[in-house]
Amino acid sequence: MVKVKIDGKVVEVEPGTTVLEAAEKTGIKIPRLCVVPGLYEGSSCRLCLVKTPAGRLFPSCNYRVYRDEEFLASTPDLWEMRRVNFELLLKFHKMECWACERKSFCSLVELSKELLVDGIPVCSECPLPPSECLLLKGELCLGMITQSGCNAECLVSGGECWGCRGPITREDILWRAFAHYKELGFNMKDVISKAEIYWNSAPGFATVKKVAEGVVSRG
Amino acid sequence: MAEALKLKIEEVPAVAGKVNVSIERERATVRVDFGAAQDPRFFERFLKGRPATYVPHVMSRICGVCSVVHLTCSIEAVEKALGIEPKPEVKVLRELAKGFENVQNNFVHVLMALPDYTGDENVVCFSKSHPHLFTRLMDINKRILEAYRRVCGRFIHTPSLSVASHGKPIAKWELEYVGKEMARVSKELYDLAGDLAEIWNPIAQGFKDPAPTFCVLNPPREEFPMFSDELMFSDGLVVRAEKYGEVIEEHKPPYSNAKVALYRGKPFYVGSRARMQAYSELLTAEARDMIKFLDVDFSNPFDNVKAQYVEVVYLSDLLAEKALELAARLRGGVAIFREEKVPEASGEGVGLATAPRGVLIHHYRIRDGKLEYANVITPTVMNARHIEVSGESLVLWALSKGAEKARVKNLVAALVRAYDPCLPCAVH
Repeated sequence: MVKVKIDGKVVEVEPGTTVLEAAEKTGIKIPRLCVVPGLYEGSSCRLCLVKTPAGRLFPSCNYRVYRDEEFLASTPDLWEMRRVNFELLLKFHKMECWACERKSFCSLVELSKELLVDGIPVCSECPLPPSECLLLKGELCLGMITQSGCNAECLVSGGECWGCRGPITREDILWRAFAHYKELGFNMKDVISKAEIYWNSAPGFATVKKVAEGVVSRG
Repeated sequence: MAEALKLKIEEVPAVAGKVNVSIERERATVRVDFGAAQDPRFFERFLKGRPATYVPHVMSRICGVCSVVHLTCSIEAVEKALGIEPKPEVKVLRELAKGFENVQNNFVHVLMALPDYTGDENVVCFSKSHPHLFTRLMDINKRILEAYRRVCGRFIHTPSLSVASHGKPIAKWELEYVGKEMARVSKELYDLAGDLAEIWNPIAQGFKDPAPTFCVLNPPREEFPMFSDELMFSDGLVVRAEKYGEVIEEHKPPYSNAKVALYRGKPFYVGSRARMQAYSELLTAEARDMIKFLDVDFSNPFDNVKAQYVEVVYLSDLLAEKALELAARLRGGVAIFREEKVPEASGEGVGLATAPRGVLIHHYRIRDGKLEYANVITPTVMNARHIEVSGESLVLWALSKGAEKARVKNLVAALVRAYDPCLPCAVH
């Protein structure tokens, strides 16, 4: 047995255990996306980064301990690095939550809340399946372009999204969302006039207006 | 000759919002100023030119405490203006929502004002001196909110209520549950009155209201009205909703951010005290019992708090009855209701609703689906002048009994609290 010290907590484990498994034993939570025990341990998401007190970084899912060692798993700089890695991963994701069936089972949404990454629309938390989407019924819902995190309170209670949490800042998602509004036959002026109610002084509103104009002029 | 007196109460405690009261006496005259210190937000102005369907959603943000009444009254006015007639079940659900808010708001206010009558300094002290009673009252409040959640969802700024729609489906068994729960709540509150009466000491006993005119909604049926098309004054005058401007005039005093409403130039009051007098024939035997048991003196403004408690007992029973009646009419429940297309019409509509604190008026003029003119008159605006008038007479009354300055200050603060003013509503 070897002694592993993670964030000051000591745990005894079999030699050859990964740091991630040791951390789980001590109750320390390390985020991860790619690890499926017994199936895939390729350490490709880089969200489970930990470091030694000397500052050497490595993914905890792939580092096995064979002697007494000490690690840090929850320092602010580690969380910041995990956040940046996650944001980079998300860049390749389309984020069309309005057309996705996964909803609350989505680990991306869960992680984005944990890592405070913005750019996930309210649709990710909406209780309605895509086939029951309010937009299909002609209701002007701002869920597609609004920052999530409210557990879609209004949609759960039977209303539509009014955008009170502010616009999402990722332009590519805004482009897709506005294209979807246009596809469904909404007038961009109506969308902006509804968004104005809460967003008139929001920092991202200029971008939203620019994208809406862009979608119109693209024809 | 009486000496000059100058007192100022900054931000009266246990009141929704900020209000400063100043008391001034020179020779034989006393002046009490009810100065709302909230910042105005110009709801009536910034909504101009917006689509009419957005109006209720934004208007409900006038106040977080009594958001449901602003929401439902605004929906009523917009629907009247656009000529939309919702399904009867939806109307009943809105009445239920409105009633729940009256019960919850009045109930919480009784709790906030109770320390004045029990001799405690504030609600925290009251919770320490009467822990069992306080826990029971808080538990009842939780159950009322839970029942509301079953009917309409979230209590504050309810998203399920909007123009020509009701977004939350409700099953028959849920309505039955709500009905039974509210009947239990009413029964418990009736029983609790005994405990309350023991600690409810009168303050300013013998003080009389100097301006006994009041205003309520005229019941369209033989039933406590949540909404109506007519206003009724204590002198017997009945006014159609559209003609409210002929009898109620508004002006803005320089010392306050809120307007003041007068009935033909005279102060009048609204609220539970007015309603319990006006609808005395509609009340149940229990409610009448309570009035006798709590010894409610309707000519004393302080007894508005007692009237609120009686109203809570009466209304929870009425809500139970309404919920069970609706459940009996339904087969499965009320489905989501949504009008296909809200017409982009023109028209004018005045919504009248029974707010927890009195009568609420929302008046809109809509042109081609866009709001052109809006006017909102809230109960606190109607009560403002009446508070001043009774404050003035209370100060004279207290001084004639030889009260100290501190006592006068406490009495006036308690009087303001008894009216249950809501400043965010007044300064909208």
